[in-house]
Amino acid sequence: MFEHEKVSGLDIIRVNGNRMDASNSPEFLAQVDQLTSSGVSQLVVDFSGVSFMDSSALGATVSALKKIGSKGTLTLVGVSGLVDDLFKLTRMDKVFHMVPTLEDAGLARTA
Amino acid sequence: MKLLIVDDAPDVRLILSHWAKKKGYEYRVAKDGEEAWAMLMEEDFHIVISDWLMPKLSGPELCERIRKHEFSHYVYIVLLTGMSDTKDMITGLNSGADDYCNKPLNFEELDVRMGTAHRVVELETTLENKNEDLQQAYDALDHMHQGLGRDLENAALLQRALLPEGEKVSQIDYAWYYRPAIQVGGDTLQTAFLRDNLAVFYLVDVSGHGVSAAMMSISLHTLIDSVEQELVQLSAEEIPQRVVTTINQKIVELELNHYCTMIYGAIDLKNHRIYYIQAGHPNPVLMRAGNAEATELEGTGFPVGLIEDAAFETRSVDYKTGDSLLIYSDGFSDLMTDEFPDQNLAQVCTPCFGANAAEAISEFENTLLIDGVMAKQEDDVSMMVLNL
Repeated sequence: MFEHEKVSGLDIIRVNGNRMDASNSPEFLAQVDQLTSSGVSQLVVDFSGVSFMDSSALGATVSALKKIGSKGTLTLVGVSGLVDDLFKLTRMDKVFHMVPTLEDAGLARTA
Repeated sequence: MKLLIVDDAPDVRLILSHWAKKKGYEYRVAKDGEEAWAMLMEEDFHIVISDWLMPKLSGPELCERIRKHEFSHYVYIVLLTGMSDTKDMITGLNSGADDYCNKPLNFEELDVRMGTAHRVVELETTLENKNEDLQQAYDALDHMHQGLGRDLENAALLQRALLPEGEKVSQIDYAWYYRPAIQVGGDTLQTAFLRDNLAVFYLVDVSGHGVSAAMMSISLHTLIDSVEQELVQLSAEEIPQRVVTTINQKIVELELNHYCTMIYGAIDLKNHRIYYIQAGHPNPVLMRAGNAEATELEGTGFPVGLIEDAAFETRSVDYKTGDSLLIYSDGFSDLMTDEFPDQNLAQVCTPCFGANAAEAISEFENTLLIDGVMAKQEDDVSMMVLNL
């Protein structure tokens, strides 16, 4: 469900599938945990294709942010539709660094 | 493994008896089918070696009887036959015999037949033991499941007991609808009179649903009520900020796996003004008396318990007597979005508002939250109407 790859030095977790909810959120957090404990501090999560997110998934995304901590960065890519609505309603768009595409994420990192 | 030997010829009975004794079997001997049947009724036999042609009851007839009867274990039957005709053989086997052995008796053949008999009988015993174990495990599980079911039902009663009982607070009448996804849920709500000219209300939705969300929502309910009691000096305007900030701090400190969204409001009953905080929660719907359509009180806000120093914004809205306020959890709005994709929520809700809150909730129940819609419920659904 969550695929990790490194693209031009950037660690990316891709969310495969269109639903992120209580059933797969723990898996997401486990992945993030694995990466942060192996030293990753710049992380990108690709949400393009995710059309639904529930409260557990939102909580997991915030937990991921906390795991990365103040020394690292977490960038969310491709948040749209109902997921974007949820982020706006809960003001998470003010909390997360969100960009439309992976290219933007790459550029943001080298800047 | 007790053996029953059945043959009308005395010499065959003798030969088989000697053989059985030599093999170390516990055995009995019958001289015809009827006597064999009588013995089967009295004692436990696992293997029957029987002749085919016998007076009173033939081998195949004995087989049929044995198969029709429900013994407590499998009875393995070998028919002794002088017949070489396959057709007769098939008839015999169809009567329920497991195997046959040719006459004149060949003891090597008999041994082979007994080998199979032993395997089958042992297999059957193993199966029976396993079945017994399974049945015991199942009974234990079923017992526990019923116990849990009762526990959940009691927990549900407890949770509902926290919800407000009355119908009126000062001149405001209110009513609510509460349907968790399972017996207990992560939603909770309240409308209460705090002190002179001050009322408070809230609807909280703890993230997720199920037992742990329910436990958190119950503890939040009591926490909020206790925080309110301490705020004697504060005005309606100051209360929401203090309550929500305190709750936020507590949840973050406890590092629980759940956060919540909520609408928390304080009503200045004298000046007809509501001060409220929208904490990451779906927007309240306001139906002003005399208006054709309801409107959403739009806004955004941080959820509670998710971010440590979250800043919560207090909003206000003035009301007139006869206005109605609807607050709800996203379980409700999600269902409505699915049912009415082309309408916004305020439009969908408008027809339900009526003379009083109880009527409005009835309308919601009877026209929108019908069985067909509720069958699709995935999240806790709760809502409250305040008729101001």
